[in-house]
Amino acid sequence: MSEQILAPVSGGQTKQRKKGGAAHKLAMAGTYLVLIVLALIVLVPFYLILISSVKSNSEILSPTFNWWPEIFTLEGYRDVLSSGGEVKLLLECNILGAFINTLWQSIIPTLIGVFVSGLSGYAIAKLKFPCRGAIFTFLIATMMIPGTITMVSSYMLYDTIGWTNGPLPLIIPGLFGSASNVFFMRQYFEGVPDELLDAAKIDGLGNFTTYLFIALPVSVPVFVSLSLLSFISHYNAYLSPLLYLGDNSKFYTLQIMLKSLMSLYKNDWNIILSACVVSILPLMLLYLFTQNFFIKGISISSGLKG
Amino acid sequence: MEEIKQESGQTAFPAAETGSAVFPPRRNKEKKRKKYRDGVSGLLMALPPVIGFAIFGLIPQVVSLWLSFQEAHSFDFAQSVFVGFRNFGEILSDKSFYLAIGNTVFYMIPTFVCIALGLAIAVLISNKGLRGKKFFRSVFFVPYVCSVVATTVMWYWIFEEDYGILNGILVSSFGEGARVGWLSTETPFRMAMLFMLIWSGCGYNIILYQSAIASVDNTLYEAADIDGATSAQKFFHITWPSIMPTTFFMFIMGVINGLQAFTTQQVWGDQVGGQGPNQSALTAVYYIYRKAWVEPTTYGMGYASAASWILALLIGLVTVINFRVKKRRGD
Repeated sequence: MSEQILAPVSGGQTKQRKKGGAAHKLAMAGTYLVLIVLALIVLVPFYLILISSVKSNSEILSPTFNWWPEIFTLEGYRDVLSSGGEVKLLLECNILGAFINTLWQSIIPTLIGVFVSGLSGYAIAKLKFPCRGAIFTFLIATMMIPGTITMVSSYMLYDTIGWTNGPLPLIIPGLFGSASNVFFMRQYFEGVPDELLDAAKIDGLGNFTTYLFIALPVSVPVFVSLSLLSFISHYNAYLSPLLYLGDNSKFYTLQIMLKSLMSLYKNDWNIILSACVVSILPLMLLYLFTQNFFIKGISISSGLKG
Repeated sequence: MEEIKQESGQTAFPAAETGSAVFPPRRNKEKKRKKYRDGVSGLLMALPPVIGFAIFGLIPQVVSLWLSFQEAHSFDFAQSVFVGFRNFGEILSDKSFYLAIGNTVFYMIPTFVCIALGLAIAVLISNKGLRGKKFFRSVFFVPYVCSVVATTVMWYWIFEEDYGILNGILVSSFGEGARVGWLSTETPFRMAMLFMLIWSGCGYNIILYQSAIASVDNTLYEAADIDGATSAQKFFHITWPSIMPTTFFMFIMGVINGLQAFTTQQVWGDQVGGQGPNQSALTAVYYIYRKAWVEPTTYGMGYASAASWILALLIGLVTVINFRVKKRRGD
């Protein structure tokens, strides 16, 4: 990524640099200081829960706070992770079960949804068909409508067809793709040269197979970026799973699990904090390894175009 | 005039037809068939999101409008009764509805703080001589990746009054008098919530601003250097106008998301008496949620639907105003 200079020094300012050598150094030191302090503010809370999650509960509840555990124990983790552990007695799944629930409830709508959005975006960008403009305008218009306004009526409709207290309402709508992803994919496919696609058609590929074998492979980075963003928003979703999973703790996702543990084990902080760490860790690792895709995805989704 | 134009258009069409008749007819047919096939498959490929929205978005919307004129205390449609505008009247005379709107606006403060802070930090990180850019960027983005529930639980525990770390540190250094009722008293509760929201909201803006700053045309800065511009001048005359669309995007998304705030407030509020001290955790969406799922016998689905339509109108209004302002500014 090309970096742009703003503050103190830039290439052509050798004169100023000579003059302001000390001032510049001071400014740099200040910059580092500010950034390090801010980084600590971001990171210390994570350290605090990590370190406390390996303390015994009595140590967590003791009035003095230790930056390092007096007695290292994995009690909390044992309670949330083991299959017959304490959590399993109150909820129908333990945190591993919740993790697996979260995974499949996020991955299915993400992969299919992004694929379908891409298909739609591709058609709108590259094929001529009736109502093309109208469809696109319609999809853009839907992006402006906040989803929360239909939460009550949606719930009642799902309840009528018997989908509540289960994961279906969290998965099925996502399979149809999302307007915003259609928008981004259309924008991307408009930049893909027609020659490439025409060549495929001469080779006898139909529209769908051209998308599958030609357009999709050249847009893998965009797909990965949008999928990652979609995945974390599903993984971290709270309101919809809270409504739709209801009391059916067999299907609980990590977020709902965490909230339930918080209410069920009011003062067993070692359990709650261990669960917290377990739910944060996978995404943090994912982020560490796929950082550039995340950043690309964010740039795309804000209209900056990578 | 119009007719003549159309007629000439029509005559032009057969001319094209005869022109193509020069080619073997089979090819012409094939072309037509290909066009037809393109049309059908294009439509089929483009439609799923439209169908999805029609089923899962449009239908609930229509139902929601209908529902807002009904009294319904269960999720069974058959048990609802038409009550006209009564729900709207009751909501508009409910004090806690206005409180919920006020709280929603209050919890939008972090949105604006994060835009300013995000820009400031992005500018610092964009400094050319800085080392560890990537490290800082990664660190600041971490809260965005973590689930809101997890970070909210984490901060809840830090602010916890009896065993929480913050009070632990305060008490051990300043004595028992320094203990703060972070969760049980209104002002500290609000402050703690604001802090948490700012903490988790900046990362996204930093990343966005940093990419925006990086994509500003470099020649502009070079020209400014030749003219001897100071870095402040360069910022206000080059950087700031160039990243205006990003700022607008953040602003509009921030407002739309802010009006739908729920998770952090519900996770804390639910733990502290249901709505936080003096209902300070009650946001608009939380209000709707409570009316339908916590107090269905008193209020119910119709009431909640009506409230969600009022919220939708507010969101629509704010969005329109935003775009108007943007248009007037001529961006």
